[in-house]
Amino acid sequence: MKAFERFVLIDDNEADNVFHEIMIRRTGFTGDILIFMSGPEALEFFRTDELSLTTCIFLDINMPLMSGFEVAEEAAPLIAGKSSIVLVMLTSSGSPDDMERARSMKIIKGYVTKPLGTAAVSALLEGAVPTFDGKS
Amino acid sequence: MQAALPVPNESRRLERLRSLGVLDTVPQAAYDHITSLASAICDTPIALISMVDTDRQWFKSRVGLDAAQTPRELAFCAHAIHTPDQVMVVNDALSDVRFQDNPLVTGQPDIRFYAGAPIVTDDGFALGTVCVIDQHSRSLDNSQLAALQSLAKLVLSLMEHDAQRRAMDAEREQAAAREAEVQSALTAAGLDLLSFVDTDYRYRYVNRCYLDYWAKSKSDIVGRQIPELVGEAVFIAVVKPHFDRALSGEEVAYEAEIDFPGKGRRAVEVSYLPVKDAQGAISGVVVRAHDIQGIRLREKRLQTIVEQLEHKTLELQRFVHIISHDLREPINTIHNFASLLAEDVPDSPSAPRSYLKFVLDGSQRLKILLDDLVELLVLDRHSASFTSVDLNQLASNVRDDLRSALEASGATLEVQLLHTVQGDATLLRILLQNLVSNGIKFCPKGHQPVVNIATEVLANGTTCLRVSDNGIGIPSGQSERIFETFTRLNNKRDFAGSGLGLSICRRIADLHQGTVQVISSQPGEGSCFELKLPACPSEPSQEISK
Repeated sequence: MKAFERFVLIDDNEADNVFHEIMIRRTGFTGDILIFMSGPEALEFFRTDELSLTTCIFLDINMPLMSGFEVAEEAAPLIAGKSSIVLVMLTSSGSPDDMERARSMKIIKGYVTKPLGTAAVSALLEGAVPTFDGKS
Repeated sequence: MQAALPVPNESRRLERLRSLGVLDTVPQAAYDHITSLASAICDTPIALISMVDTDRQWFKSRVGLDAAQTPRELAFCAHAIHTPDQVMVVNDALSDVRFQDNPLVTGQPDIRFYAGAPIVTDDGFALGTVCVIDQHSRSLDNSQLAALQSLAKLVLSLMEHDAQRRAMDAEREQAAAREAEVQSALTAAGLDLLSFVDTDYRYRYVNRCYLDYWAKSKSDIVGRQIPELVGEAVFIAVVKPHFDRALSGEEVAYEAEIDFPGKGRRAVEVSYLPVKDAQGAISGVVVRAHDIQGIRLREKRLQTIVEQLEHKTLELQRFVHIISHDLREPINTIHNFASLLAEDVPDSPSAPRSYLKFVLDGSQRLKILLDDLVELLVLDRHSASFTSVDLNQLASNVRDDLRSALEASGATLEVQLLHTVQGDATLLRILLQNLVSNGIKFCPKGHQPVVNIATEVLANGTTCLRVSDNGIGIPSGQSERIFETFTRLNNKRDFAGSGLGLSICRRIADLHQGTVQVISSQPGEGSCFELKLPACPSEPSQEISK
């Protein structure tokens, strides 16, 4: 798989989005970073985008309207067959229940506990699959 | 005529006579046989058993004389008792100055001859005589005199025996009366409703309490049948089935709610106890109703309180959970952006830089506190599942968990060859992690921490897991306090932490029916924590479900 050409951040917290964008940029990434403040907005994008770019999606869990898990469920049919799309949970929840639930969903490839650091982003850019142990 | 003088000790003699309780008793065959014998042996028409009372002589038995008693001043026997150890003989009353003008001599019954053997108690009191009387002067031979004395002794034995029997009877009667009194008090005054109902469903006895509850008088109930009191429908549906089982010999108990006219609706525990007569046939049933309304009310109140408590606990857990979640985001934001700012401020001891460091430290501490708080909550709801846990594996996991802390402090973690225990792997890992990270953390600045993990199995199967360090130690007197929630012994600037770590450890030890404590510590010389785990802990039941 090619290195990621695009990041999608789905999080209702504006400050986190800003910070995560800074962290991603610090690794030297120059591609697109798309930010969605809610699940429905992101899903709308997945339905309309051609999804031809290799993309890493960071998805928050605790959001109003739709939780990250609900978003993942609805996004699954749209992105399931595409090896170019990687969905990773990025959350402040270290709860074992949440981690277990993420692990049980095939569409979710990894789990990163906030805050996102440059090391975690670099590892992803180098093709490493993020683990489920909650450590970035 | 000379009346007899009172004997010495007369009042005590009379007391003794009365104590035998013979005076004025009805005739008894045994005594009558003795007078018959005396009359036959001495061949006299008259024979008497005479008791000398204050101012009369009274005859317990008499042959040949109509009078039941005579005045004491006329009594020959009153003279006879002055010589307790010999038979007094008057051969001819007419020639004896004491008796020649005695109306009993000059008139009926024309006494001429008298012989009286005193009846003498073991303690020397002459109470009366066995005497024989004839209407012409004569004498007795020695064997007749001896026989009279023997008969006097026999009378004493009889009287003493009678007195003894009477005393015993009285005692027995008293005891029986006392028991009957207690029993009737017990049944009458008890707090239970008691009744005795015969095989015809008819009340034969009810106690006070029974009447109070039903607001009836005794005559309203005793002699009537159960249906008349409780109604035909209740009798057929409720009472009769239980009652008939009792009539077949079975003890029956059940709980019911009865609307008592005198007390209102009460929960009662009813028992039917079959009663058997002497032949073993069932003669009726004792019905006991025990009022448990008070207990029921208290049970209900307690249940309500328990439910409220459970609700509150759940609410509290949910509250802390939400708070800790909602707090985490802003704290992360503060931390994230404060670190970005810190990078942009030049590295100099300028004020803005040190201020930022305070902000960063503060947010760091908040983060740790929240993490521990959440862990404590999770622990409360964790249902432990016990398996075989290899502590070597666990120690190696903990080494991985704490890799960054070990590297940052240059600490050494020494792990001996450890035993395997029964427990919850996840929980034990949290516990060991806490103990080891404390060992690393509480090390004086500039020293290299050394933490040692070892185990020992005691004779009773208990496993002791010991974690010792070369850290700052714990001041004496504080080794129990450190396990309390939010207890911190140290300045936050020197040693980060929430103060929850050891209370988490204790909670985990409790879940394993084990203990965790400080077994040795000197300030400046390190501490040793010991976890004791029983050989076969039973899995704790989850008290509050999620």
